[in-house]
Amino acid sequence: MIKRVSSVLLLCLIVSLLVAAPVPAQEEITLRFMGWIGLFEFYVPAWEYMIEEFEARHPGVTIEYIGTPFEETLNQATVAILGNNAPDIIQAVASWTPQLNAMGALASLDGLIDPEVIENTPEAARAALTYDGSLKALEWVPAPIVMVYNRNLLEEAGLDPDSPPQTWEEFVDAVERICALPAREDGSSVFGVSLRTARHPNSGHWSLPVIWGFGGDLINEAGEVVVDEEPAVNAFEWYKNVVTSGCSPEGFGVQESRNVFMQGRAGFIFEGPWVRGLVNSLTEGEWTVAPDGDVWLAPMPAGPDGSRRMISNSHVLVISEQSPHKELAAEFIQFITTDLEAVNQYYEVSDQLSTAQLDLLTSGAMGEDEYVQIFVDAMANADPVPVQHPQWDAMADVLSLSLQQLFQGADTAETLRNAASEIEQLLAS
Amino acid sequence: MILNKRARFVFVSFLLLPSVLLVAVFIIYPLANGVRLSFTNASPLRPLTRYIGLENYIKLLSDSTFWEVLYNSVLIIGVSTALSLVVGFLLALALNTGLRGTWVFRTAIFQVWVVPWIAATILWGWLFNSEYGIINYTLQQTGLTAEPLSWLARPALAQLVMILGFVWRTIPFMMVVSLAALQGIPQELLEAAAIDGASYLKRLRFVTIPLVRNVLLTVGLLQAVRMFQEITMPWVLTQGGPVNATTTLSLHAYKLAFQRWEFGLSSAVGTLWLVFLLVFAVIYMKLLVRERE
Amino acid sequence: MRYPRNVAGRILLYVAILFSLIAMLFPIGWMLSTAFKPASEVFAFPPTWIPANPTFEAFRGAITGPLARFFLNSFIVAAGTTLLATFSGALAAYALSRFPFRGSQSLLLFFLASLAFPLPLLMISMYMMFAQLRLLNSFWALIIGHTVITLPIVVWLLKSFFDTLPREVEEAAYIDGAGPFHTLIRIVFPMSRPGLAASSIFIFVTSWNEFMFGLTFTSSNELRPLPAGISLVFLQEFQYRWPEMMAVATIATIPILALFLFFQRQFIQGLTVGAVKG
Repeated sequence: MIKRVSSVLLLCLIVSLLVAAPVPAQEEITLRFMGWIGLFEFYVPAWEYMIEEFEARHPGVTIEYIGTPFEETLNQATVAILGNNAPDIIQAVASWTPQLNAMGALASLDGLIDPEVIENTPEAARAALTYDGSLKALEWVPAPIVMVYNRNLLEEAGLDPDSPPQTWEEFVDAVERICALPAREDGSSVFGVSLRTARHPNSGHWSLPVIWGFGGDLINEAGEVVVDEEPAVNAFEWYKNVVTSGCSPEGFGVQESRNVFMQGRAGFIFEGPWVRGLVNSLTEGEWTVAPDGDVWLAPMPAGPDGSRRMISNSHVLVISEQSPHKELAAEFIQFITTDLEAVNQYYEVSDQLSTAQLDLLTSGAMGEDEYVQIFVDAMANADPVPVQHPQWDAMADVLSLSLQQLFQGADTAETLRNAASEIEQLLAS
Repeated sequence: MILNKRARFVFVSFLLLPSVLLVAVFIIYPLANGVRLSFTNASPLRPLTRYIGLENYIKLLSDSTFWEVLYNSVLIIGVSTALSLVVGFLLALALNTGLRGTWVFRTAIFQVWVVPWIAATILWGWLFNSEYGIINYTLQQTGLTAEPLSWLARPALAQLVMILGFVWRTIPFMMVVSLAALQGIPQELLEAAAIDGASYLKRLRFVTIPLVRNVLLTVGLLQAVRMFQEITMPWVLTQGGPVNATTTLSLHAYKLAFQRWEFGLSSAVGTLWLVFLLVFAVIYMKLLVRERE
Repeated sequence: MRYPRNVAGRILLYVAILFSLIAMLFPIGWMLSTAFKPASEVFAFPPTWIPANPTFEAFRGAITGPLARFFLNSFIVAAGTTLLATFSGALAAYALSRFPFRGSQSLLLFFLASLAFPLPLLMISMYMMFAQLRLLNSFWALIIGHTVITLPIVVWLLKSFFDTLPREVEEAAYIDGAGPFHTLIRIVFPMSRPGLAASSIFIFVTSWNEFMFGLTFTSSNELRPLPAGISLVFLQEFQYRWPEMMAVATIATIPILALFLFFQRQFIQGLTVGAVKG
């Protein structure tokens, strides 16, 4: 018996060695693209079109796709870069670029990408993605985070679903009123807003617009950490109250907070352009996203000075410094962001913005889509990289930790003083 | 044996070579290099690495997070090891009575030992789900709690969930080891005690437990040491939250190294961990020696 | 007569054992029950203990996608680790058992102590080494990593096992003029089957279970082992589709359980020799 087992194991080892052996180099050029676009089944037709069409136009070029789930792409890209094995192009989120850039992993796009294409992207994003004077990433899918609301719940709470809250004061009030609604038929309670408060940097990232809404900031223009000053303290005090009074779920991550909203159990949620696709799939087509439907959206409420500052979880494309085919990589990036057919197909399958090229966003099918235009309008006030520092993620994690401490009863001012000193240390590191 | 000195030397060297090579390259070097890195600001995000003296240590020791994490790890691992040792031993006692059919129970319970951590973790998330979990359902039905408990949002409850997970996964091993230890006790000793009129409990206290105590304590210690390395459950289930309630030392060091890419700082955590182990080992040895004398 | 003589005592004992058995196996039962439920039944109130309409739907949903690949990866890594760790561990254990030398006791202690070394600390340098050797994102990184964490136990287990084998057989072989290699391979290893089987199972189970290396050293689905793959891909995709999640958990558990049931006796024998004597 042992003999048989060991011979099976031996066979496995031989197989594993064969699989582990490096693939022989090909004579033709292979562009390696890492990202999550091809992992979603419904995106695949558009993604395949992009690859096939580009390969047809450039004989001898093959696009090799390396699929990585969204949450892990940064780590996986880091593994590849440190292993001297970086893919030529990486699909990234804008807020990852400080870290990738600090590793010296990003090629400057100036001179590689056509200046016209660069200037056709929103200015706020361009500024955010420029490091020491050179552009290191091109915005692909702009994703301002806006206020999404359940029209039925607003109406039930005696609010006008056609004029959602315009200011943070109105928003706070609306949350309370929806939260006071009676329990649903199955006995589940209604939340005013479904906030992300899990122990994850993402929760900290999503708390920024709330801090801004209360007139505060994380780091001011002079580079000082001001998260322990009064407006930000008020913002976190609101977080604490809204969660401890049961008006927002506690400790929910991205998926859970969405589920609660899609079950019709929360008045508001802060989401990006993917929300329409989410509503369709999670409610199995029962809900519609429309100005007169079940769910509609508006820019984030205005702060005390009347400004609306939003975060943006934009998808960007970067070229590796290690890439031996930077020109070709740039051509592929230009093709997928500017080719009308590629952009339209991607728009159709994703049901959201499919390029950052302003002329394409404001014309054709996307130009007529009221939903898309809300995000196009929001883009001017949306910041894809709120803190241009390689330790941004760690800073966001400090905020998420602070939120959780508050829910356990910690003092808000003191918690934020500690957070501020930790963030100062991270800034200095 | 019969080999001459030279042949013996060659043969033994050959036998030891693969292991020693693996250990030297992948344990000793990483350990030494790790201790070295703890005095630097090493990070793949920084182009230059330089020595910064004790800065990492000062940062860690003056940070309440580190102490919190240390306390939580000791709490979770200490309680779960002790609990699984006690339960495992009791089960072994029950199985060791020679009742008919107990092998079925032993086999069935031992299967839990191979349930992969990842499966146990997903399973735990479902059992303790605050809205649809069977645990909350049962508690409410039996009237033990009025409201559903949010197991993973409250620090003390989340720690309890971890402890229960660790205990569940460890009991079978403890049971089998205890059973082996019990079966190693010479039957005559127990019979002699019985003839002297000692009750079952007395025999347990004065004969059985003293005989198996050291073996079980050592096994428990080994198990605790292994548990310190385990991160699947806290990583997947709570990401170390709420606050830091379920962040164990290894999860903390892992996150510092491979999420924040602070190799230096993480190495300092690892080095301190090593120092604690050394101190603990020395104390343990001293106690053991004293007891033997 | 070791068990309680009176009937009441015996019944009480059976009840206690039965109760612990139910408590220990309940989670697994609930996992299977959920895995076979259709989505609509999962949130039913009151919950059904045994699915009213059992279905393979969840398993179908779970095995589309890269699960089969993860499965294969785990198998390759576990098999490779088993071979490497058993081979090197058995040789070292034999040397330590039969040819003790000055320092062999310390070496044995060092192996034991290395179990306690902080893994994240070791991983940092391993990561940097693998990056330089271009072994990151390869099966080798995982096989080496898993070998490092299992080797100490294997050496201990097999040394205890070899200690229990009679030396006379080997000595007779030497007298007959057999060389040491010949004796080791033809005489010692065949006698050591139970020990080798126990340590192989231990290694396989540990490797199948291991999470941290898989998460850190691989970056593509073609290489990820089950635990890392499940947590990276399925927990995102299937969050809150509990039947699918339970089906994934079941699929990850079944093969290792089958292997274990099959070899359980050898394993417990081999393991207890090592644990109790060492």
